[in-house]
Formats: sequence, C-alpha cells, structure tokens
Amino acid sequence: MASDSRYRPEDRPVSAAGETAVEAVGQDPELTELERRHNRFIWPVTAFFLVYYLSLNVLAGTAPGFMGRKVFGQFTFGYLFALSQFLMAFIVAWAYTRFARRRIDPLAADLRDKFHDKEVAR
Amino acid sequence: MSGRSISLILFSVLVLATLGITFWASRQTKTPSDFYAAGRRIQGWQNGVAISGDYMSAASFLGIAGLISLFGYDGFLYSVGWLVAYLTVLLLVAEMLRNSGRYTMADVLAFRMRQKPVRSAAAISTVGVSIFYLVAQMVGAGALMRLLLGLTGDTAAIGAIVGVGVLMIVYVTFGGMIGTTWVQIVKAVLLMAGTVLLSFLVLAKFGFSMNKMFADAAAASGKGDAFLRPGLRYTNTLDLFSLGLALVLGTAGLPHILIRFYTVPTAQAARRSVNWAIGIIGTFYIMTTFLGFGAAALVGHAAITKADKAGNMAGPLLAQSIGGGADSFGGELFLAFIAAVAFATILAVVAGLTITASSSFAHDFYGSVIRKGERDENAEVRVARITALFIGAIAIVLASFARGMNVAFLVGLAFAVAASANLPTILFSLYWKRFTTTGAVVGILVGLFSCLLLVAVGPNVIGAKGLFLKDASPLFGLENPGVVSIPIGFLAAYLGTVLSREKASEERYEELRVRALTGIGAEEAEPAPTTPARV
Repeated sequence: MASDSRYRPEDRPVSAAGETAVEAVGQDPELTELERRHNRFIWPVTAFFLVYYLSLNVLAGTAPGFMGRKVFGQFTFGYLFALSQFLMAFIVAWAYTRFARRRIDPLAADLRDKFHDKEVAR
Repeated sequence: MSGRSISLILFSVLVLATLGITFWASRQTKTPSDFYAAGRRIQGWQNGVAISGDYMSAASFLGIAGLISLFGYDGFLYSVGWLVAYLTVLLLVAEMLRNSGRYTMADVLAFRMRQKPVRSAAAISTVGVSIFYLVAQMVGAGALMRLLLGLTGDTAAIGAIVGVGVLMIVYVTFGGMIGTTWVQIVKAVLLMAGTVLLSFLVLAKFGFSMNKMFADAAAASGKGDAFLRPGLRYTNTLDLFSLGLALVLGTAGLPHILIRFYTVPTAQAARRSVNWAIGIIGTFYIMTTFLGFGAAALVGHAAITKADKAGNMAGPLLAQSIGGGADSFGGELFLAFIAAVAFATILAVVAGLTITASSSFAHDFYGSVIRKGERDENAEVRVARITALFIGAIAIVLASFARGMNVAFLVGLAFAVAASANLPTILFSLYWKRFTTTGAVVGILVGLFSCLLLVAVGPNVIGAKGLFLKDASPLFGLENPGVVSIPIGFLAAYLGTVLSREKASEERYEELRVRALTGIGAEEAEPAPTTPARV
C-alpha cells in the first residue's frame, strides 16, 4: 500500500498499538450503526426541505393569484408561506442538532476512544 | 459637517481597525495551518459569525432590500433560498468535510483519488468560482462607493475598485485566515447592528404594525395589491425554479464557505457554526422585509430608481430618510453609517474569496501538481501569499474593465458552477463507494463548462438584456442555467465513474468513511507535522 504514490501517508493516523483507524474500528458494528443512523436521518430530511423550499418557487410562478390571497390584513398566503420557510429552516436545524447530539456524537466519541485505547486493551 | 466627510471619517476608522486586526493576526500566524485554517482554533460561534460575514455580500445587503423596495413580494421570495441553502450545508457537508479535509475543498475531493488530476480540476473550479464572485463584488464596490460618497466619473469607480483590491491583498497576505476571520466577524456585527437598528426605527414609523407598513408600501409603489403577490420580477417559473435550485444546492459547493469549516477544532463546532450562521442569516433576511417595504413606503419608487435603477440605494436612502432626511445632520449621519456598513461588507467578502483562491492555487496546484506531491507547506504558504497579490491584481483589472456592465449575473453563475461542478463531486466522494478519479474530474469539468456555455449563450450575454449582440435572440432561454447544468454535473460524475474501467480504491474509501464519520485523525487543533515520515 505504502508504495502506491496516489496516497498521502500523512493522512493516515496510527493508534498507539500501530493500527490504522480502519484496522482498529473499520469493522466495528458501532461504526455501521453510526452510518446507518446518519443516512436514515439526513437523506429523508434533505428530500423534505428541498421539496418544501422548491414548492414556494413553483407556486409563486404558477399560482400568483392564490399566493396573493390575503389571509388576514395585508398578509398574503405567499408572504406567510415564504416566512414559514425561515421557521422550517430553524426547526430542521434544531432537530438535526438534537438528533446528532443524542444519536451520533456518543457513538463517534466511543469509536474515537476505542481507537485511542487500543494499546490499553491489549 | 457634510455627509461626505462623515463617511470619510467612518471609512478611515474602518480601514484602520481592519489593518490593526491584520497586524495582530500576522503576529499570530506562525504555521501553515495558521495561515490556511487559523490553526483550527476558531470557536464554533465565532466561525458562525464569520460565515455570516463571508456570505452576506453587498448584493444581499443592498441588493435584496432594493429588490423588495421595487418589486415587493418577489424580492422577499428571492431572499428565502439564501437561508434554506444552509440546511444542505448542515446536513450533508459541514461535519464530514471538516473531519476529512485540512485546507481546501480539494482535500476532500482528492482524499481517495489520484491527487494530480482531481486537485487540478478542483483548483480550476475553485479559482473560477472565486474570481466570478470577486469581480461581481468589486464592480459593485465601484458603483456603490460612487453612489454612497456622491462622487461622479470613472476615476471614482476605478479608485474604489483599486482601494478595495489593495486592502483585500493586505488582509490575506499578512493576516491569512486569522485576519480574514476577524475582518468577517467585525463586518457581521456591524451589518447586524445596522440592520436591527434600521428595522426597529422603520417599524416604529408604522407604529409597529406590519399591516400598516405593507398597506403603505403597496399604495406608495403605485402597483397596489400586485406589490404583495408574486409576478412583478419573476415571470418565468422554470427560471425561478432554476435559480432556487442553484441557491439551495450551490452554497454547499462554494469553496469560500466550505474552507471556513476547517477553522474549527471538532465536528460539533462545525455544526455549531452552521447553527449560528442559520440564526444570523435567517434573522437578517427576515429584517430585509422591513428595509425593503419600509423604503418602498417612506422613500418611494421614484426617488429609489432616480438614485439607482437597480434599487441598490433603497437601504441607504431609507437610512437617510429615517435619520431626518437629506441635508439634516441625522440623515447624513445615518447615510454615512450605512455606507460604512456596505464598505465593511464588501471588504469581508472579497478577503474571504481571495484567501480561498490563493490557498487552492498554492495547496492544490503548486503543492500537488508542480511539486508533484513532495510537499513543503512553508513554501506553499509563500506561494499562497504571492498568489493573493496576483488574484488581487487580476480582479482589479477585470473589475475596472467591467465597471459599467451589469455583472450581477456573475454571482448567479458562481452558485450554478458550485452546484453543478462542486456539489456532485463532494457528495459522491463522501457517500458513494464506487466513485473514481475519472468520475470526479469529468464531473467537475463538465459541470463547470456546461454552466459557462449556457450562460454565454443565455439572455445575460446575448440579446436585448445582454452584454453583446443586442439584436440577436439568446440560444438558451433561461438566465439561470442550474436546472439543466446541475443534472448534467451529477450525470457526468456518474457516467465518468461507471463507463471508465478504473476501479475505486476500496481501502481508501474505508479510510475516508471512518475518518468522516468519527473524526479520527482530525481531532487536534493543530494538524499533523508538515513533513510526513515516509514508511
């Protein structure tokens, strides 16, 4: 491996026991679980906010009359829908942060500890 | 005291303060990691403020307020995408990018690929995107300074362009990423303070009733209820969709935003940075409603378009009117303050773009291609400093030539290239096991050139609204190429991978996977030693 010039050896950390990160935790079921949780959150939520956002532009283009309908006072449906995008962004950011703190960070910290503690474990 | 002399005093204070920051930062910059990534010592919240400062350009500060003041609802509609884009950054890119790269966007793209071809392609795209953005900012700077300081003639515009150019070279060459970061933080604080103050005063004028503000704005606009619904600015649904797509996907591919995530010590800090940026940028764009509708109601359509056809003076004129009107001390003081905020805004954004382009040239092109991977990071930093000088000079020359042109579309082009060339490659690199060097290079180059081509034959360049051939009709009907070029970019990266016989390095993918997900190997504030031990 080390002979292959396309790789940069400095990118590869080595644990105290002389193992690379992949050797130390690459096969760990915790890593698979971490990846699974991550993917199961980010892709559906990304699909959701893309659809929610792009539907604002599509509605503005195709249904200006509907968007211009006043819901109360001078507040149109279009204005409230656009404003709701900001609220949506705040909520998604909050939900992701909460998810990552509870479901991702502990696993990642555990895997880092395993890597650093390899020497102790032997 | 005249408005102009107040402006000049405020400008001088700003220039002296930022030069002071630069001097301080130059004393803190000792290692290559300090220069490229502020030693990874920036805190999450500080980085969030700096991202806001890097992102909110004069185009969004003065431009969006102007759009709202002239077109009402459509201006506000435009501002939404600038914020939602940060969800793409937060969910898909920020943390994994920080964990796997060190200095440039190409660090991640080239992680499991052959270094030379991928870094060369990424450097072309990084420098390209940054220069489009830079020229747009500097042409804007020339026009704005002329308007704000009430100067006339080409000399003033060129003077402003040269002045901004020289300052950004100084910030980057001497202050590196530390200096750039703090210039951006100062700018973000000034911008938010100015916007909050102005919004509050505007709302007070309407007795804190948004209802009254909307009603007065609609009446004063001369367009009535049409001002409060879509259709005054964007009439082509496909073009509007295309613009939205490029904004919401492009931000996560803008090199000058991405490299900010290398300045923080952990993935959690990267996450915190985006959350701070979302809070600040979101609040800012909500407040542009008050500036835009406020200007429409209080300044009026005629006065806004008389000062500048594109509406860029709506914010400054609003400040003048709130302060007591033209020729009153309060009015002139407010106008001068907003002008200084706009000036700080331009300086912070151009500094961020300059360090991005210079770092990529030095680290990706000089370090990998010219030196063939025999890295000497101290030499790289010297090259980066010299490159900043050249990038600055090129931007000054290009902006001086383009000063009279309407180059606002260059920012749109930068977003389209970021979404079509950079984002597909970033996402496939991080999430697709089979992705190969050929796929990455083909993806970047095809995405980049399809955007350039579609804009070159589109309505911004050819035809009645374009720069050249005013009698011809454009070959491509949309102003925003994203809806076509983004799928092309993804498809090119995919086909480049599956059609070439090259096999992806599974071992290297595993390394990236472990590193991006856990942060192993990227935990320290200071990265690994600069000269690797060869085993």
